[in-house]
Amino acid sequence: MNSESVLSARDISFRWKEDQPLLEDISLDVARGQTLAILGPNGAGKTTLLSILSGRLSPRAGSVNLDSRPLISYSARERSRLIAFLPQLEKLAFNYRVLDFVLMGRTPCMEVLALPGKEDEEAALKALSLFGLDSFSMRNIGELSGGEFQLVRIARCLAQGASILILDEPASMLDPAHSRRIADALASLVESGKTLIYTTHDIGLVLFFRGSAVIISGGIVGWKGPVEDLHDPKLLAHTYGISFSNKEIPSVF
Amino acid sequence: MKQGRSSPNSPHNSLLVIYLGIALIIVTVLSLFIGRYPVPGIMNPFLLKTDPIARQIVLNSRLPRILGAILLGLVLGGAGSSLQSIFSNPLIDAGFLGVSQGAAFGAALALVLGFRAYSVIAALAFGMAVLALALSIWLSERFRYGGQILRLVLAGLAVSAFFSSLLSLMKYIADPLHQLPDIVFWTMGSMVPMSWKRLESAAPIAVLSLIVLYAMRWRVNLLSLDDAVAHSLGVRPSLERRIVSVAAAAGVGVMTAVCGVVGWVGLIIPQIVRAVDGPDGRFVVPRSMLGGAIFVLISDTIARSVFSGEIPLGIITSLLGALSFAILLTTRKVELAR
Repeated sequence: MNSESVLSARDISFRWKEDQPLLEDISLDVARGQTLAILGPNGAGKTTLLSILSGRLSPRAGSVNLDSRPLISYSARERSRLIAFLPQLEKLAFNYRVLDFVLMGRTPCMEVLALPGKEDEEAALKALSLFGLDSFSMRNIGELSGGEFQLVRIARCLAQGASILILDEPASMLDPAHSRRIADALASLVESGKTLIYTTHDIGLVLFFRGSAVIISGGIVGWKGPVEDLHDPKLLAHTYGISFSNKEIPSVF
Repeated sequence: MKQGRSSPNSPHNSLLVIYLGIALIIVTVLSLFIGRYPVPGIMNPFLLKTDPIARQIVLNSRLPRILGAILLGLVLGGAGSSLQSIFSNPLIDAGFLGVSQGAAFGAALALVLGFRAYSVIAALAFGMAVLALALSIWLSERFRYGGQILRLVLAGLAVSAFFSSLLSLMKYIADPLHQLPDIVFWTMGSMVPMSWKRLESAAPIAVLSLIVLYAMRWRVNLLSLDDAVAHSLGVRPSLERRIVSVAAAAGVGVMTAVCGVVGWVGLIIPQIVRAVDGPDGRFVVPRSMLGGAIFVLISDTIARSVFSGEIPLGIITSLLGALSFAILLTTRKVELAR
């Protein structure tokens, strides 16, 4: 195990159905304050891998260590103070106020049955203001655009105070302006020392964040290395089964 | 994301719960003196000093009944709002998971078997409510379709339908002269059976249920989120959802065992509360409890004082509930995100 790793996975295997292995012998390390992009075709198991790294799923074989200690040995509360996970989609049955919604992120910092107090409210407002969302706090989630809602969700992760952020496709389905806004927000979090693990299909976003990347393909780690190497069209063609070119096209990254 | 009408964009009004508390006290005092003795209308409070019958009626008949109605309303409102949150479904009732239908069948079974003692009817009703809950949870764990929420909703539907058909069977085989009227009256709900003794027997479980639901009022917010998010926030969704379900079902079960099936309270009151000040469980759960208590108490006061004969409570709550629901939906004050 890499001694500098804050989160490391060793020989992880997972399958939903007995005869259909999804992930086989996946190993990866993430150093503190680093960024790791997880790439791969649809259905490659990226989201499942994130669920395993965030402790929601247990691998069939292999182990995940957080700060050199098995992730499964952490209590739910302990883990939630260290890792914040954001799923790709989030349906809401109720139209919460933005501030209340972000306040929910403060739960790991509160006693088990306690209600959020003044300092939690300040922390939630601070998280919102970091993303320029101060004026949104009293609005309802239903009044926000998809991009604004995504920023609010990331603000909730930030309010959680965890040092590791695991985000499933944080900038998908957004217009270029919101993609860029979210990328800038996440970049500022990495600069402030957060560790970021995320999945995406957007190579431009990966190159913007720098750091390292892994490509999951056919259930195994097909490639890993610094993101700069993703400029190689052959590597991407091999991963996605379609030819890539290096044309100069307008990009927000 | 699809959302309904927005609630007001202002800070939460923490005084609302105090206003509701004051309203409940006022309704309680009024209800004590409203009735048909000595004449239909409001009794002169000074009569309590001079008239022993008035004292007897107010202290031993109306007071336990009023406290019972308050307890029933607190439980139905609290259970309804909590269950709606944890199952991310604003259309779930307090009797969800088969609890009401299970209790109704238990009572009907006791009556058909010839038991007349109220304690036996209540015990069988509560036993069947617990059995319905256990069956719903057991079945949901064995369904091979959908996530935890969908499986529980489906299991609750199946168990409700199962006990509902057993209840129909009881009605079908019941003696139409002696047993059927009792079964029908019981399934329509009424506070008539409430006495000090029955209040004392139901109160411990009902109060325990209220304490758990009140303590979980923040956690129900987290349980209304996507399970992956709740997990990330340190919640154990399956375990905590079960704690809230069991607390809600126990409270509703024990009160239904005494008062029969009283519908619509747990559905409509949380809807109204959310329409006023948003869906945050910190506020919705206690306000729904108090709102439920006021609603049941007013309904029961109408039930016992408008006509010389008692109107079953369930008829009044369903009538008022369905009307308010229709009004709320037509004025778009109810938030339905899905």
